[in-house]
Amino acid sequence: MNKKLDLFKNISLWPVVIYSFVLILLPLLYILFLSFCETDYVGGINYHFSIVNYLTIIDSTYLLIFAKSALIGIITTLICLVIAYPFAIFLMDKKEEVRNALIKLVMIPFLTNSLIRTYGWIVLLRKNGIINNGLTSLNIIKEPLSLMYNNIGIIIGMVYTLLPFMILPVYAAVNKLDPNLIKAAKDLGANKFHVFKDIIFKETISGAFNGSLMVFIPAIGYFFISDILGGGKQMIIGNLIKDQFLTARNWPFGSAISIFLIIVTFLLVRVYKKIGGNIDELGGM
Amino acid sequence: MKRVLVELKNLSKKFGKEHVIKDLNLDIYEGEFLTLLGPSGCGKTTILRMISGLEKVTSGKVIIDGKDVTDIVPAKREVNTIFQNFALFPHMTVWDNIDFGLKMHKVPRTEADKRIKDAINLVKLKGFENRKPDELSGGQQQRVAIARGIVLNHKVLLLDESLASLDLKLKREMQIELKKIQKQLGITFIYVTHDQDEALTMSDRIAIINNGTVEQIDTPENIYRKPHTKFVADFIGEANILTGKITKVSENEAVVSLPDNMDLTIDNKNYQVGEEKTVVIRPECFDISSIESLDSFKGVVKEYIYDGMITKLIVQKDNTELRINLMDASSFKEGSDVYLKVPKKYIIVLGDKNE
Repeated sequence: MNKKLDLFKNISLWPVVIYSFVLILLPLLYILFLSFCETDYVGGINYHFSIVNYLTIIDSTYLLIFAKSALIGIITTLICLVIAYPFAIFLMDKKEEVRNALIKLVMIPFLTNSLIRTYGWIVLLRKNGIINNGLTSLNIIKEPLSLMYNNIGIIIGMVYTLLPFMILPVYAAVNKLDPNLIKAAKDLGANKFHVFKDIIFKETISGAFNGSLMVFIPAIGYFFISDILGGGKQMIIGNLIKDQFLTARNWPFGSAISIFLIIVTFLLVRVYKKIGGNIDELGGM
Repeated sequence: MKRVLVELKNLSKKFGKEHVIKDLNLDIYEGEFLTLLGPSGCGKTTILRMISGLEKVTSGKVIIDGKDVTDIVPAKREVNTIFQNFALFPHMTVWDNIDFGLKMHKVPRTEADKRIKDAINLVKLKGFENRKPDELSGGQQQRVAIARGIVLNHKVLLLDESLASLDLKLKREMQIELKKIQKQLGITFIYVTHDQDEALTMSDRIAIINNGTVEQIDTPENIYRKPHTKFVADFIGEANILTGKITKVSENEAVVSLPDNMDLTIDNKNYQVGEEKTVVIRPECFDISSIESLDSFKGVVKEYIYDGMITKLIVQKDNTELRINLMDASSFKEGSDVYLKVPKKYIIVLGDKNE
């Protein structure tokens, strides 16, 4: 190997290594360290070893928040799956230009700040918002629906914000599928439902799981959606962590919940591996 | 008389403006091995897909076992396809792949298990039941595809260039085996290929497809020995194709005069003097000698190509090049004079009726 090239390789790698070390690994280690400290209840930290933060997590109030977050996350994930698959299958036999154009449309929202887009939903969802006014003036409903400041609002916001993260991996997986497999299944007597369940879904399960992780994890953490569309009173894990750091100023407890969330993520990947998933297809997580 | 199992009536297919299949009629008999042979792009795969239902018919009818299935979905047709890349389900084991169709048809478990076992024995895959497709060789994958196709006991199996991806030696083995399986099961195989060796080896009948129509349908021997058109003669095997005029007619014989003073004596089939005729001579049909004899014509060996089993000579006769294949050509060197004759039974005259 050329020595100059080796040198260049080493130098060009350093920025990434430094970036990952300073901005990802160090803060994470700091969070891990903090999670084993104690709060002094006035915003400071007592630096002595303790597992009290982790014991607090098991408290029923917090468990309830976790359970609710998980439920919102699961519902969001399922809705995204239900929307992403028909879309990906619809694109399968389309021309490449059509496919590319529609996938670009999916990605366009990324160009705008998601906070602003979430505020945009208020105009649509509030009591005298566009949806409610539209439906009442068409006499479809008499009373305006409660579409925000509740769980429905949070789920609508989550699905809207996170849907691209489901569509892209699902589309990538479905697009890679050999069309002959579907033809073969039809040829062997499978109806549309079986073609989807036994062939398309099973062959693209890694894409579905990948998308599900990318939707589920943010869905339990995106506090701003819960703040804006849930009216701040609907707590999810994301709000809880944010509040510990910014409002309650209990950094050790906030750190402990963060570490807990990371562990849950790793467990989910383990589960995927257990049920026979290919880790490489998740991008080497 | 054999029973017609698959009937294609005035079948047409258009892709946009392109007219791929033009008013095609084809009867396929019960239990036969029929090959659709033609150059790539001739529409042979489209015909197969219209039989399976994977491609919609523009106009015309597909009749299978007396039932018009033109508008019936593939799942409800009593045919199965073996795809070029086999299209085995990657996440399923060999057993589950073969079982898939049986499950879809809700065949009772004990019956299904028995049929899978029989199919696995037939294609010699015993012991591989729990492997996934990517743990099998190309030949083994081919066998799984065959087992999956026949396990439903349908009367017709469609094979779309199914041996194309195998290497030559394996291909030869599978050709013989495929033919054996077909005979053993007694079901109809409709095989699509552009490989003439494959077609000649396996088929009961070959349909030569060109430009979306059937050029000729016949036994392999007749396709080779009695081609009806220039295209068929040229497409199957090697051929010297020459056009000339009838110059002499007697009671039983006629003489066709080809360019460069080649006069060939042929059987007279009501030919008229002056009639234009195209004759086909296969390279192995020449009598070749270094000594002049009655009715022979002289040429010069231009090229001498040793090809193992045979030797190929290219003989220049004035402006015409003739291809000649010989088992033993050791006495003819490049540049030497040779005298050629063609026995009249080996001369194929195109356009003859009532063959």
